[in-house]
This record gives sequence, structure tokens and C-alpha cells, in this order.
Amino acid sequence: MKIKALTRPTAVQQAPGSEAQRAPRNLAPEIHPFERAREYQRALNAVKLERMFAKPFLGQLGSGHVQGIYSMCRDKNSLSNLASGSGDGIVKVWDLTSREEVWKASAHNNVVKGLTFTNDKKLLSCATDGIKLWDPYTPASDNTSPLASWQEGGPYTSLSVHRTGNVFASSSGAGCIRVWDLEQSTAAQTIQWPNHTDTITDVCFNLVETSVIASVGTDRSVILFDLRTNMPVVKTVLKFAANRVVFNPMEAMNLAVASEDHNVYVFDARNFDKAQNIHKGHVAAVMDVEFSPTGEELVTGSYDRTIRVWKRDQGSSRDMYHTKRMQRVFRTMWTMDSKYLLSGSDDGNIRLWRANASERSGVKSSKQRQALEYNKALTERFGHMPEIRRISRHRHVPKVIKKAGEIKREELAAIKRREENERKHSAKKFQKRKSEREKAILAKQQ
Amino acid sequence: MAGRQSHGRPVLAGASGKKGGKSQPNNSNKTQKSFPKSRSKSHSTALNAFALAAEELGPEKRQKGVRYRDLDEQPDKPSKKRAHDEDDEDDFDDEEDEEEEAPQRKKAKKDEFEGFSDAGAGSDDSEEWHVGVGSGDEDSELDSDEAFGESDEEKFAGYSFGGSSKKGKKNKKRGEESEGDEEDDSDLESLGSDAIDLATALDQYSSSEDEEGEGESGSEEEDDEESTDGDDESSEDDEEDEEKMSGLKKMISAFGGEDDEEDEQTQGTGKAKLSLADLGLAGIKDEHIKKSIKLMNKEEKGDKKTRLDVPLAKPLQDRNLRSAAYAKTNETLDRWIDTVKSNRRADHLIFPLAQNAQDKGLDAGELMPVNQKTSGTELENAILSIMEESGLGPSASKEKKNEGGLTDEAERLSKAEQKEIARQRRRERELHSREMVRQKRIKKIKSKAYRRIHRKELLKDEQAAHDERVEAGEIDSEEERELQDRRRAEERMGTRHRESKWAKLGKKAGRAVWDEDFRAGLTDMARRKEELRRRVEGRRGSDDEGSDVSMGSDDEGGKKKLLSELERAAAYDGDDEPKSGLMAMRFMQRGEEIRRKENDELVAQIRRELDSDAEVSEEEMDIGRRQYGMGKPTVKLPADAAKAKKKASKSSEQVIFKDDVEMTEEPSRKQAVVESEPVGSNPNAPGGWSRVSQEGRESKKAASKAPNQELDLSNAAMPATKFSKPKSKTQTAEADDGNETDDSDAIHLPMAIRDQKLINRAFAGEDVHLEFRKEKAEIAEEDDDKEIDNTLPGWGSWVGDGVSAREQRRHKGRFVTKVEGVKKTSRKDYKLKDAIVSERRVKKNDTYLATSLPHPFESQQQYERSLRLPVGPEWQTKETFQGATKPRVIIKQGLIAPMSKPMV
Repeated sequence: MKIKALTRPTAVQQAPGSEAQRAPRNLAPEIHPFERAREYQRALNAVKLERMFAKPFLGQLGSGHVQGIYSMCRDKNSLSNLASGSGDGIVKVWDLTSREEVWKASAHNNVVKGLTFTNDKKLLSCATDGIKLWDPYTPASDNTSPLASWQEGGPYTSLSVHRTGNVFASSSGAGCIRVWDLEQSTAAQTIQWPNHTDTITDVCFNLVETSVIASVGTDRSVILFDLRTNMPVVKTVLKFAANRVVFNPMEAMNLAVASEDHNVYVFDARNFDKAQNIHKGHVAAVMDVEFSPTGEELVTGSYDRTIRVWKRDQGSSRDMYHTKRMQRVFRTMWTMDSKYLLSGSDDGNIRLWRANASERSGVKSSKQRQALEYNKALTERFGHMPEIRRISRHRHVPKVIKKAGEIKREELAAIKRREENERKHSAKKFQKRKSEREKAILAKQQ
Repeated sequence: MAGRQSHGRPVLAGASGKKGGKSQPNNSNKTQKSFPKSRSKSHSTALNAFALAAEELGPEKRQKGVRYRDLDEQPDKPSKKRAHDEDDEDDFDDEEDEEEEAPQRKKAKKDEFEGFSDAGAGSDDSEEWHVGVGSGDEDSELDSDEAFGESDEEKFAGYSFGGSSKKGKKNKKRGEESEGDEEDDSDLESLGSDAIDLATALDQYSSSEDEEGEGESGSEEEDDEESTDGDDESSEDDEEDEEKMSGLKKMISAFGGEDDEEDEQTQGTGKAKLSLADLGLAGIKDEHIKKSIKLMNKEEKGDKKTRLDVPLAKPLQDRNLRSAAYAKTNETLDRWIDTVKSNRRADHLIFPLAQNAQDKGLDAGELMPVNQKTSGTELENAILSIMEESGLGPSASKEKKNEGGLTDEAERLSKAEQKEIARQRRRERELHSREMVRQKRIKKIKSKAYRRIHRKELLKDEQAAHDERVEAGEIDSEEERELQDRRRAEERMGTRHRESKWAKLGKKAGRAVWDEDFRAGLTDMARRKEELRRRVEGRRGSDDEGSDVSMGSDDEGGKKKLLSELERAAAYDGDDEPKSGLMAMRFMQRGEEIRRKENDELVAQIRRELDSDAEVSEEEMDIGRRQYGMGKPTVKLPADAAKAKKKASKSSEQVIFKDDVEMTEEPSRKQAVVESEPVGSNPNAPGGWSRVSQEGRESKKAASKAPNQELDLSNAAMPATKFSKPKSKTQTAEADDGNETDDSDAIHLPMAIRDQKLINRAFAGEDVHLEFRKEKAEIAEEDDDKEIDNTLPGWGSWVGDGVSAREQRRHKGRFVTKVEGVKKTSRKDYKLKDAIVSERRVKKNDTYLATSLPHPFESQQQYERSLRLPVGPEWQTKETFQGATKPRVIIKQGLIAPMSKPMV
């Protein structure tokens, strides 16, 4: 059978004997009229397509846990390693490529509060009964028993590992943080803010400026420690307790705090006078926050059963993910290539999401890639137009959350109105208004 | 998750059944105490919005999975712990805070004990736990010891830190201070080990006391806490603890085998030392020991003037240390600022970062020989240059080989080529003009002079201030001491910051490659240590003083030297050198000339400064118009010339205004002239243009003080004049240079129609104004809000004859629809008399209009300009298109590691 193919000779592209390639189209402006109108229409189509293709949920890992997932961690030196700890003390290690369980151990007899991979692929877990070190990647018969365990000090609430060293930090219920060496049985350092006895709920190493540690506690404080001087350096009391603190991996000085007041605050560690940015949108306490490895975006998981994705420099969320079965989200994180999200929730499932809902992985032809880029550029360019803005911002939101948002808005407006009234008729009117970013901070101590 | 609160639960259900025993915060009850009821309520509702919404929508609407545990319908288990948490959670107000503060400590304890019992950990845990939380005293002590590292102990062995000791000790310190001001540090120093013994002794004492009076300990604890919290230890405490004090004193005296009085005495004289003779070691012959003895003796002598202060209270000291440490931390964080800024501004960011990829590739690269091209980092370059110097570098071997070949190469070049090269070089040299060299020299001198002068002044001021304070006797003031303490803390933190193993952990991350601090750390540390040691020993600054003095005496000589140098620099002239062809060119010479002038000026300035010893303000020099570009010689007009110019300009006026010839030439006779020929022009003549317009303007500024002298002319031209003649006359009498202003006005409005008469004639017989007003009113009416009466006669009412007027009126406005329009007062042209601005808009177009100016743009023009050019491939070249559509963040395959070194 003879197949006739439509081919063009090379002379069409490039005239024989000449260097110059023939332009693929005529650039004469009179042939391409109405450029802005056409581009607007293209932008509109692009944004519609983007919404059409938005399918963020990829699936769940294995069959999850029996109880809720309250701690999760990924290996920062690997794209596929993930560990999760559940309420019944069981720790599982997952392989992200196959989405299957790799290793499992009954690590603790209570809620696993903190998990972290060390730099040599070992796993640390902590609970009220101490810290344990596991080796999930060595195939041995007894790799379900810990390599080491530490019990000194109080009930531990979270763990964080140093970027390069053989060192990790743990926060404790006794109001101090302890820094451990993996080879030693006792804490190398115990650092505490003087007379600070409230539980520290989360601790986080700065991965860029590697000896700085941040922590948040139940007394609403955010404390910064410096290991070089072996000291707590600054303490800031917020209006609400925070659940989690993380540093930006690309901006050493910036840290995000997931607060109980439904917001995420981004602070500059050098200056706690006011928040650098406030991310507003959740309608219940934010349980977890994490910067993407690029430092350009954040993901938060909330008690309102949703996950939100934020841009670093914007106040409202870029996207919101939810499923019907997903319960309170306690842990969210990015994969190390910053293309996928993971969430661990109260229902015991770990879910895998796309970071960009409409993006598809896989190799694309250059033409397709270029078209997508063009679409993106257009939507960015015309993003402020009413119609395009409406479509790109439209999300299907669960009724509960929509309702909650309404209630919240109403009540906040009421508070504001009352405050304004009070201002009008009292000496307060001579006072300067406090900016929203300053309001979050109650006191700064040094 | 025990101990965590969240606002996502319903208010009414008392508690939620999360396995950690979370209970429901009953916010409304809680906050009613301190808030007006409504606000607290709305606060709590706002925070519990999610739960409320969930409740409102009902549980049946939610999906109930297999694993779904209904979190909202749990039995009520309000625990004490929960209540505490609530407190933390709810307080917006200070009142509640204050309420909390007092019992906070207890609460915390309780909390943790409960938490502990929950955990059910081993006995080890419990022990540790009690130590950590139980007694504040022990806690603080432990803490301080740890915070005060070993290295510091060495350095500050001379100090005895009040903070780490008990209350009693502190009191004692105070007492001593008040008793005898001359508490000598030499005691502490020379005693050395004894001092430490004292501290332990005090500890022993306090512990024994604790054992004795268990009942007292509680109050003591409280006292202790107060003191640590408050900045100043009050004298009340002293009184309270007086008995303890006396006990302590006794105890100490017993330890030293001396009486109190004796102790005081010895402190006063500062001779509580054992001499070597006392120890029976007078006849020592070892050289080393002799040396040290010598040193010790010296110290004794010097001690009198350099004694150390009583250290700060522990919490204060801690705070100082912390702030110093924070400053240090910030310093290190600041290193990343430039990188962050540049990344934020960058057009494109590519992840994973290239720097991290480089690290990966480094393993392979390490095996390759490093040469000039492959050495990427500073460190490698430095090493390479060292090796090069010592003749071990990679190029050394090459050179050896090429040794013979070099001469050959020179020969290979023809003579003509060599000449050419030489010529080129010469030209280049000349281009670096001589004046440039001179300028450089002068600048150097100038900077020197500046620095010298300033330094001298600064020193003088400082010295004066210091003297003053010494005289006033406040050199030992709180402020001073605090300052010193702060400085000390900074130093300490600085060393620790660099020295600690944490700083060294950076080695693994390849810090030495980019971190200057890290590299320079060791030497700097050694220097600082030395300095610190000196300071601690109290032998500071003898050398410094010496240098100061020498500098002071140096000053006069230095000035002379500077002057002579200046002299030389000023005299420096390259004119004796032969001028090349290039320098012969005119523009080069001109440039040279300008530079020379500048240099001369600079020299003069420096001289002036040196003479007056005062700063000549830059502003003084810069007054007047600045000149840029090639210095065009400014022609300074002498007074006569200026006059001439004026005359010239006036004569030009004469050309234009023929009528005024006499007037301008002889201003003294002006009035008479004006009077003599008041109406000298034909209204239809072209000369009338400017005059009429002038009149119009004049009418606007009725009270103008400098009206022009041609008003009479325009008055003559105007049919409806607004000026009376006599008035204009007086005005002309006053006026002097009206012509000029008139002229300038005419220039500003070239398009204005000036001849009113002409206009009037053109529109003769038409009342344009009235028409225009009518039209405007019509349009306004049309656009205004309208009420349309939709009532149909006959529907629901009778029509026709016999229906009373009243009935008709009743049914008139029954179905009225109101059409929103633009109110007359809110029209854009409401206040514009002579304009109609259309308020009509095509509503369909609204979708294509931006509702507000989008974020990065600052003006409408800017925004529209940004949209002017399309991006699509039909309108742009391929390259531009690709450039315009390239995404800002490009994420390539692979793992994105955090930043490992500053990129800028």
C-alpha cells in the first residue's frame, strides 16, 4: 500500500543558496487587524481551558492509616521518600512513584507527633514516650525495632533536622528545645527562653542560615534561637497561638507561621514589628504551612478540611483543594520538585495533588509548550479584566466553607463597624490606626 | 493532638472528641467577662465560622466515610487543661491577660503534669520533668550556667556573676557596694581560685538554709522571681533579707577567718594578698616564674585605676547577651538580602538552582587539575595565585617549555609590526591624560585631609564630653555601665557566633567557599580573644593612649606635610612633555583645560579647609546654575553690557510697538507721551491682536497691580469696554514694563482668538450662547433619572367623561418605574459653563474595560502603553514572542535544594 504524505521541500523554508530562513507567516500588520480584541478573546479561552483542565487530585497513597495522620515528612534529598505517622503510633514509609507502602512499624504507643528524615535516610519519630531512630531502607528482619531512642526530657512535640549536620532539634513540652547529636545519647544543647514553661509545639531549622531555629508555643510565642551563640535571641508574642512555623528555603530571613486565627503570617526574622504578609482565606485554624522548594509559593492545610495554595506575595489563595472525604488536614507538604502536594488528614489518608491543578506532567512538544506559555502570558496580561478575573477565580467551594466564609465576613465587618463607631466618639480618634499587619503582634521581647 | 486548640468546632457542643482529649472552647461564656457581650460574640463567631456553618447546614449533608468520626458530637469532657488553653486562645484584651499572668506559672505546671500523666512515660522522664519545671530557682541556675559557656568562664573568671547566684548573694553585693565604694577587683583576680570557692560556698550556704527552713522557701522563691523579672532589685528586698544577709556575712567571714570589719578594711586598701614571701617562696630562681611574678607586681600597681564594676543583674545581663546575639543573627541573615532582592526582581528564575547543581558536579571536577580557567571560586583562585607565585602553578611548567620560544616569537614579528604596537601603546598612555593623574593625587590628599580634620574634631569632642562627665562624677553612671555591658555582650556573642561548632558545621556545606566571615574567623577570633583578655585583666589602653598622643602631636606636622604635598600636586604639570598628535587636537586640549580647572579648584578648596580647619559647606560651592558637558566659557557680562542688552531688547520692542517708541526711550517723559497720543491705532489693524487678549486677562485679575500701558488702546478697540478711561490712565501712569509681560502672555497662548470684534462679526445675528445652553440642558434632562408612568388609563379605573379630576389624579401615578440616570448635579460638565461632556456609555463595552488600574501600574498612560503592543506570534518576531511568553519561574526536572550560598 502506498502512503502519500504531504511534504514540503526544504526550499519552502529556506531558499537555495541563501542564509535567511523564510518567515513562516506574513508579519504585515494589515493582515492581522484587531490585535487587542483577538488577544483578549484568546486570553478568555485560555482561562476557560485552564479551569476545564483543573483536576488537582491525583490519588491517595496505598490504603492509608487506620487512624488520622498527625505527622508527615519527606526526605529532602529524595523525590520519592515519604513517611507518615498516625494517631495510633504507627509510622509508615511510602514510595511516591509507586504510591505504595514500603515500610511500617508500630513506633509509639501514642500519637506520633513529629517525624523527620535524617540526612542519611534514617527516620526519626517522636511522641510523648520519646524519640526513636529507625532505618526503614535497610532490608533486615529487625528493622521494625528502633536503632536508637532518646527519652531524656519532656514529651516531645516536633522534630527538625539540620541541613547538613548529624544533628536534629526537638521541641519539648517543658518549654525548651533540645538539640541532639545522632551519635550521642544525651542532648547536646538545651535552650530555653528564661522562665518559659509553656509547651513548644513546633520547631524548625532554617535550611539556608543553618544554625537558626524557630519555634512556636502554646503561649502564643514565636521564639528564635541561634545555635552558634546557644541562645534564644528573640521572642514575639502573637495574638493567637500558632501551630506551625517554617522558613523559606530561598529567603533565609522569612518565616511563615500558621496561626489559630485562620491566617498565615509571614515574618521577617530580623524585624518582628509587623508581618511581611498575611495570607487570609481559611475559615478555621491553619494546621500546617509549608513553603514550596522554590520559595515562591506556600501550601496550607486547615481544620476546615481544605488545602490552599498561595503565592508568596499575594494575600489571597491561588487555589483551594478539597474532596468530599477529606477530613481535617493536619499535614501538608510539597514534593521536593515542587510539582506535587501531599496532604495528611484526620481520615487517615495521604493524598497526592498537583501543585498546578491544570498542569499535566510529561514531555510536551515545543509547539504545545509554547502555546501553553502563550496562554499563560495572556491570562496574566488580561487577568485584571472583569470576565477573565471572574472565571479564573471561580472555584467550587463546599457549602459549609462558603457559609462559614459568609459568617466570618459578616462578623468581622460588625467588629470593624463597632470599632469605628467607638473611635468616632472617644479619644481613640486621635490615635493612629494600627495596620492589619501590626495587629497580629502583641508584644516583642528580647 | 493534645494541647492544641482550634476554632473549627461548634460552640454549643461542649467538647469535641479528638483523641487527644480536645474539648470545645466555649468562647462566648469565656469572653463575656471582659468584653461587651456583642463584640466578644462576634469575635467568637468569626473564629468559629466554620463550625457554625457546618452546624447550620446539618450533618446529613456531609459525606460520611467509613473512617469518618463525627468530631462534633462528642461527649462533654471539659478538663482543666482545656480551660487553660481557652484562656490562651481567647484573650484579645489586656484585662484577661493580667488576670492570667499571676496564676500562669501554676497553670503551666499543672498542664505539664497532666500531659505527663497522659504520656505515662518512665520514671526517668518524671525525674527530668520535675527538674525542668518544678522549682524556678534551680531552673534558672541551670540555665545561666549553660548560657554562660566554658569559654566565657575562662575569659570572665575575674567577674563573679550576680545572676547565677542566689538572691542572698546579690543582696550582699549591693550591701558591699553601699558600704565601701572601693570594692576592689584585684581581690577577685588575685584570689583566683578563692573566688570560685566563695561562690560554691555561697551555694552551700543557701542550700543549707533551704534545708533548714522548708517553709520559708516558698516566699523566697517568689522573691527571687520578682527580682529576676524586675529590672532593679528594690531595697525592700534587702530589708527583708537582712537577717539572711547577716548570716551570710558571718558565714563568709568564717570562711575567710576574718571579721566583717577587717574584710571591709582589706577591701578598702586592696591589699588582701599573700605575698610570695608569706608562702615561703621568696627565693625562686626559675625564670618563667620570675617573669610572671614581675607581671603580677605590675598588675598590682596598675590595679588602682583599673578596677572592674559590679556586673549587672543576671536577667539584665541575659537580655544584653540576647540582644547582642540577635544582632549577630541578623547580621548573618542580612547576607542573603541582596540575593533575595535580586531574585524577587529577576525576570526569570530557574530551579533547581545552578549553585546546587555545581556542587554536585564538583565531585567529578575535583579530580581534574585546576587551572586559571577551571578555578571557579575565590578560594581556588587564591590558592592558584599562591602556587603561581611559588612557581608550582600549572603555568610554571609551560613557561619553562616556552622559555626559549619567547624570543623567537619576538623576532617573528616584523619590525613594522613592533613599531605599530609601540605606537598604539603610546597613544593609550596619552589618553590617560596627565590631568587625570593629577586629579587622582589631589583627591587622595583631599581625602586624607578630610579624615584628619574630622578625626581630630571627633576626638576632641569625645574627650571634652568625657572630661565633663568625669568632673560631674557620673562616669560611673548606669548608662555608661549599661553601654559597657552591652558592648561586652556583643563581643562575647561575636566570638561565640563565629567560634561555635554550629558555625563550623558550615564546613560541610562548603561555606568556606563563599563565607568571608567563616574564613576570616580564626584570625579575627584570636585577635578578639587577646583583646578581651587584656580588657578583663584591666590593663587596657596604655598603648592606645600613647598612639593617641603621638597622633595629636603629629597633627601639625601632618598638616604641613599635606600642604607641601598639595603644593607639589598643584605645581605638577605635564606641559614640559612633548605633545603628541593626539594631544594637539583641539577637543583633547579643551577637555584637558576643564580638568585642570577642576583640579585647581579642588586644590584651592583643600587649602581653604586646611586653613580654616573647618568644613567648607558644599552647598556654598554649588550655588548657582550647574554646568554640564564641555565647559563653555561663561561670559560674565559687566554691568554696562547688561544695560546694553536691556536696551537692545527694548529696542526690539520698539520694532513691534511703533506707538511706544518715545515712551520706551525716555521713560521719564512717558506719562506725557501716553497722554499726548492716547488712541494711536486703528482697531482693525493687526497690531490689535495682543491688546484685546490682554484686556480679557485683565478682566480676570481685576486687582492686578501691574496693568499695562496699552489698555487705552484696547479700550478703544472694544465695543463693550469694562474699563473707564480715567482708570486706565492712572494705570498707565503707574505701569512701567507692561510691554514685557504682555509679550510673554502672548507667547503662552498662541492659538487664542484675540479679536473679539472679529468674533462678534462672524457670529452676528445668532445667539450662540443661548443655543448652547439650551442644548446642554436638554442633554442633561435626557440623561437624568426618569420616572416613567406606566399607568394605563382604563385599567382598574374609569375613563372618559364624567370622571372627576380628583379620580383622574388618583390614578395617575400608580405604576411608576424609575430609570436610573445621571443626576444633573453629578454630571461631569455640571460646573463647566462652556462644555458638554457626554455621560452616555455603551454598556456592552464594560466587559472590555478594566474596573480599576491593575496593581503594578501607576498611571493610566502606563497601563495603556503596556497593552499597546500585542504579544502573539502574528504580531511579533519569534524571538520577541518567546521572550515575552517565557514564564518567570522555570522549574526543571529534579530535586530543588534550598539555597546554599548567596548568589549576588
